[in-house]
Amino acid sequence: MAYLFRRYVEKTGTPGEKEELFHLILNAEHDDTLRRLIAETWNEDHPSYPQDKSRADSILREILTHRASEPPPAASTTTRPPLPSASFNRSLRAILFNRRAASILGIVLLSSLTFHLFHRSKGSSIEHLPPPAVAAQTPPADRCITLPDGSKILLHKSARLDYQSGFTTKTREVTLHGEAYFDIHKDPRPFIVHTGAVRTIVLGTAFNINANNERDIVITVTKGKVKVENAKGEFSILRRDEQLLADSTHLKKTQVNLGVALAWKKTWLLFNDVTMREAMDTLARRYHLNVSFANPAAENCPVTATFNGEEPLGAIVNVLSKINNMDFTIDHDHVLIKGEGCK
Amino acid sequence: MFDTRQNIAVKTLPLTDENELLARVVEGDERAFGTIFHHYRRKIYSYAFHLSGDAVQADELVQETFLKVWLHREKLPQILRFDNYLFTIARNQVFDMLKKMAKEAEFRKQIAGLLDPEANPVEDQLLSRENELRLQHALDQLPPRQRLIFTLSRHQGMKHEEIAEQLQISRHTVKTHLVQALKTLRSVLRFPADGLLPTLLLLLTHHLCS
Repeated sequence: MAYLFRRYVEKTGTPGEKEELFHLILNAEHDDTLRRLIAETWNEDHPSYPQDKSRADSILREILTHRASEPPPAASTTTRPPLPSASFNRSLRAILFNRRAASILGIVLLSSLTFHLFHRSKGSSIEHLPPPAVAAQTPPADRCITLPDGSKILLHKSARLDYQSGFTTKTREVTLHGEAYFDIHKDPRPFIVHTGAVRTIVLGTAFNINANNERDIVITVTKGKVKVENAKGEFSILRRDEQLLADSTHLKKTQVNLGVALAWKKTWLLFNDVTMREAMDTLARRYHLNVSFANPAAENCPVTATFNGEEPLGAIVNVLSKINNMDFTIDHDHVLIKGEGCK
Repeated sequence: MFDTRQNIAVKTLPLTDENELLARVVEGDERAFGTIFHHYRRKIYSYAFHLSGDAVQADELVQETFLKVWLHREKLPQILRFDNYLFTIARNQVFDMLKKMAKEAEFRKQIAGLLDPEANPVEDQLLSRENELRLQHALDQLPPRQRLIFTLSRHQGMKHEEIAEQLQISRHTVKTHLVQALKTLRSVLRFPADGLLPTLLLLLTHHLCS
């Protein structure tokens, strides 16, 4: 093992040797040896690789946003889950980058449900709302609301979201009763959801909270990282595919199948600043379609729209096309998007 | 844990006013923490990158390491040599990273045959339980028909014709579904392949927004 590790560190090993090394690493019998080898090579001369400064700065910011009201107990550890690997994060970053590259666009809501829609007025205060500001409380049907910061919240059935002057220059804070899915708009201010005695602090972006029973709160993460802490100051960090059950005494983390865990929101289509291509591909998967674009440049036009999934396909495609001045035809299972699109 | 006594940092020396900075970190001073962070992150990043060849993993490792220091800053007054303490945490993270990379490599090896459209349908492979779950999770993301056809072809080793006959669809349709299923799985499982990036984006998008 020492020989193989050396070869690997010195980049002289063959692919076969690397495979063999990784095979040995998997075996817990070699853990001590591996630790020793890491320690031995730690101070040796290696080529130096500079870290991207802006990445370093944003890492520092992320660490500091962990600032809790009270320091966490010394015994707590954050274990790294095996599943959501770095390459996932990389893909995610690629998407976020794409999103950022796309410009801001109109919002289209197409639904027979009554929406309480708060217009996106970034940074503006919501003090005019009477306290406690009840964002939405309607008959039991799922509703999608957009918060002043551009975050989209899908409220399940009779769920309610309160935010009394919760949006300040430092934080964005809301209180949830019931179950909701959150797609949080990236913003330097941490987004905090209060549920019973539990606080969920968003470091990344999308997750579901079920607080139907305020003593047993279930948080499920679909994107990015989320931190959950209880009144005792215990906390846990969740990533994609992880679920946390928070009761009055414990925080219990498990791996979940998102499709099953979040079945209730499956029918909804939330396009939050995605490209036309991404939106059409999502439709193509759902309705088993072939999609083509007469003008390839139109694929990158940005769209933001929400559908509850009950609209006919034609209506959805119509809205998506019209946002960017495009036209379309549907022939059996083939959708053709025409027109120049955005510029 | 590592024995820290014999591993004294040779490349990144402690800062001259380090004790004072650390005392401020204990009180929650973010600027002092920033100074410490920027001073030491290079060495940690460089080693992590050297071993992983992956900037994202190296970035994550730096983040996890310093996050631990920040979250447990009340411990700092009891630490004699901060650099030893920090690098011990970092090396533990490197250990975890190598374990993760090894697991990933193992997984890829185990399912490579399953995802190669050119390869013959694979006999039931012995996957570790964790990998089995992971493959199952990826399969769950396929539309039902694609999943069915994939299972019939790859797990049960049925020929295209047999599947077509059983499902009363054309052989061509079977093939289309299978190709699409493999393409989807490859991207869900992040197998590199040409021209798959749009699919990957779509899948993630689909996952997040619908």
